[in-house]
Amino acid sequence: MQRILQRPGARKAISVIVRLIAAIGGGYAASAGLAALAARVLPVAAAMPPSEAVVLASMLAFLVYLGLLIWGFAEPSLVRLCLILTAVGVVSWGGAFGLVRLASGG
Amino acid sequence: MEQGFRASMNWLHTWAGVVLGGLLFAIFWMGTLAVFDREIDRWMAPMIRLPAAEKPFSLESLRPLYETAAAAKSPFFSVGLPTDRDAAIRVLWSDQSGQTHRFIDPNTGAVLPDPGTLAGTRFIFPFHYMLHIRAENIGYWLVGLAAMAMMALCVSGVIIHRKIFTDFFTFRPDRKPRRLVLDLHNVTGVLGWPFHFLITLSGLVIFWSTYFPSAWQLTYNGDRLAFFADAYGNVVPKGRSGESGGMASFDAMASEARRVWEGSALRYVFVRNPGDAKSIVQIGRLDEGIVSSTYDAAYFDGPTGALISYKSGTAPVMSVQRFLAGFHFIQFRHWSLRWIYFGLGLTGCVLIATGYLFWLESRRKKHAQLGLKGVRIVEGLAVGSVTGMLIATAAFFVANRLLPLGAEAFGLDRAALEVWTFYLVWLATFAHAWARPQRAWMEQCWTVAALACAAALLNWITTGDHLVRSLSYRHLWPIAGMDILLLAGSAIAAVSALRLSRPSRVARVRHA
Amino acid sequence: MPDALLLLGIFAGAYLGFAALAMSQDRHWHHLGGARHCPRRACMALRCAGWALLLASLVLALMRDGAGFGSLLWATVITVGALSVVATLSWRAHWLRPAARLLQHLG
Repeated sequence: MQRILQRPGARKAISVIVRLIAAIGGGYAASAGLAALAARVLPVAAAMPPSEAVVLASMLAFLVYLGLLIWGFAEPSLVRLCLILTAVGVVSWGGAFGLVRLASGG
Repeated sequence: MEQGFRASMNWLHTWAGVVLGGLLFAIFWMGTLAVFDREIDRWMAPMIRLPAAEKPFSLESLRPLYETAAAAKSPFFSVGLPTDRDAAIRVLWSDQSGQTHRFIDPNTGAVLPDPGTLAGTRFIFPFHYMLHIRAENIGYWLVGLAAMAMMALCVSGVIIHRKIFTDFFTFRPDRKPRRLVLDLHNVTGVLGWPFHFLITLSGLVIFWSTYFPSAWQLTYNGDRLAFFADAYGNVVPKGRSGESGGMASFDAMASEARRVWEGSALRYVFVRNPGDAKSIVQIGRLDEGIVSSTYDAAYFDGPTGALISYKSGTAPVMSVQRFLAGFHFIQFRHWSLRWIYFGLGLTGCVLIATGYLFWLESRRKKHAQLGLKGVRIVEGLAVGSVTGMLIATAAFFVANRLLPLGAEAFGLDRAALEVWTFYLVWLATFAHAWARPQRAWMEQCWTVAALACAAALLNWITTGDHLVRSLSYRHLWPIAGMDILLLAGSAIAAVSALRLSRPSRVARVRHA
Repeated sequence: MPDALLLLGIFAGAYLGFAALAMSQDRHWHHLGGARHCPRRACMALRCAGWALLLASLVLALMRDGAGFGSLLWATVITVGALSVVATLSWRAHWLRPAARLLQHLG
C-alpha cells in the first residue's frame, strides 16, 4: 500500500481526486452555507421580507458556486484550497445555525 | 494541478467536456426539441391535430370526468386549457393504478381516444430536466451537475481562447479536420456565448429550491408549504375533511377569475381534493404576452365557489426569478423567438459535438503511436452521445407512427413501447460505435438520414397529412413544420455521411 | 406586415453591423481583397458604422416588442446575425468584396 502511494502516478491521481471532491463537493457546501447565512442576514440588514431574501441568496448561490468551481481548479495549492473552503463552510453554516438559535431562543 | 491559470482552465475545460459532454449533448438536444414540444405532441398524437375552438368552451362539460376523478379519490383534478399552440384540452387525475391523461376536443367536448404516447410534453421535455430518473431526484441532480459544468465550461472556454477577437468571425471550411472543428467550436461558442450561458443559468434558477434548499429550509424550518405560500403566493391547502362535498360551477369561477384579472385568458384549472367538502379550486392566468412566467393564480372554495384570494403581481426579487424562468420556459407567444431559440439550441449541440471532435482529432495520432485506448473509448462515447441520440430520437418518432393504437407487447403499453424503443436504440448505437470505430460516424449519419426521412413518410402514410395538405391548413402548420425539419435533418445527415465516406476524407480523418 | 419588416430590419442591422466589424479586422479585410492591414480611416469608419448598426438594431427591437421581448429578441438575433456573417465570409465572401473595394478608395 505504502509503495503504491509513493508512485508519482498514484500521487497525482490522489491529488486530482481530492481536488475534485474539494471543488465540487466543498464548493457546493460553502455556497449553500453562504446562501443560508445571507438568507438570515438580509432581512435584518436590508429589511427584506424573508422569502425575498431566501430567493435572492439562493439565486446568487449559483454564481458563487461557479466562482468557487473556477477557483477550485485554478488554485495552485491544494492545502490552501481545502483550508479556505473548510473555513468558509464552518463560518457560514455556523453563523446561519447560530442566528437561527438566537432567533428561536429570543 | 497544471501550472498556471490558463493551463489549469484548459485542464478543466478538457476534462469537464470529455466526461460530461455526452450528458450535456442529451440535455441540449432534448431542450432544443422541447422548444416545439406541443407541436411534437400534435405530430405524435394525430387525434389532437384540431383546429382552434370557434366558441368559448364550457368547463361544465368536464363535470363527468371530474366526478370520475372524485369517485377514484384522486388527490387532484387538473385541466390544461387551450393555447395558441395547442387546441386540445388536457385533463389529468390519478387513482390507485396511476395517472390518467385525457385529451378533450374543445369544439365538441368529446373525450378523444388515448393516443398511447408520451410525445413531446411528457417524454422529451421531462428528459431535458430530469432524464426520467425519478429515484431520489437523481435525474435532477445529474442535470444540475451538468449545468454547473456547462457554466464552468463557458467561463473556462473564454479564458483559454487565445485570440477571441481576432478569431471572432473566423471559420475556414477548407482547412484540415482538426482546425475546422476547432474553428466551428470557437465560432459557435463565442457567438452563442450569451445565449448558452443565460439559458443554462436560467435553467438552474428554475429549480433553485431543489438545488439550494439550505436557505429556505433554515429560514422556514423545513416547511415547504409555508415557504411556497410566502414566496409564490400559494394558498396552503387544507387537508381532506373526509366528508364528501359538492362542486360549484366551474364556469362561474372561471369568469370570476377573468374578471379579477381584467379579462385575461386562463391557463389551467386545478382542483385539490376533488369530491371533498374542503376542496379548493385553483385557476391560473395565461400570460402569453410577457416574458415572465408569473404564476398568478386565483383560489376558490370548491363547494361554494367563493373566491378565497387571488394573486397579481410579484415581489422584486421573485419577479427576477420569474423572468429568468419565463425566459427559459418560452410559454409566451412569440414565434420569431421560438425559432431563434431552436436555432441557438442547435448551435449548442454543434458546440458540444465539435468539442468532442477536437479532443479526438488532436489526440488520434499520439494515442495510436503510444498504443493508448483513450481515443477509441471517447470516440465511442461521442458517436453514441451525438449521432446515437439523433438516431434514438428519430427511432422514437418512427415507432410512434408504426405502432397501432392500443398496441401491447411484453406487458408494456404503447407509450412504454415507444420509450423502450428510444432507450434500446440509443444503447445499440453505443455498441455499434465501439464495435466499428472506423465507420461509426458515417454509418450512423446514414441511419439518421434514413430514419428521419422514414418518419416524415410514415406520417403521410398513417395520417394522410402530407406536406401539401398540412401547409394549406393553419391548424396543420405544426405538422408541416415538423415534417420539413425531419426532411431537412435527413438531407443534412445524408450530406454529412457522403462527405465522411469520400475516401480522401476518411483517410485524412483517420490519419490526420 | 410592418412587424415582419421591422424584424427584417432588426436582423439586417445585426448582420450588416457585424459584417462591418468583421471587415475592419485585418484578416477579413485582406481576405476580401484589401491590403494586409485595414487602413486606419476605413477601419474607424467600419467600426463606427458597425456599432451604430447594432445600436439601431436594438432600437428597432425595443420599438417592435417593448423592453422585455425587445431586449431578448435583440440579444438572440445578434448571434444569428453574427453567425450569418461567418457563413457569408466562409462561402460567399464575394458578396462583401464590392463594399471592401469601395472603402479601399476612401481609405
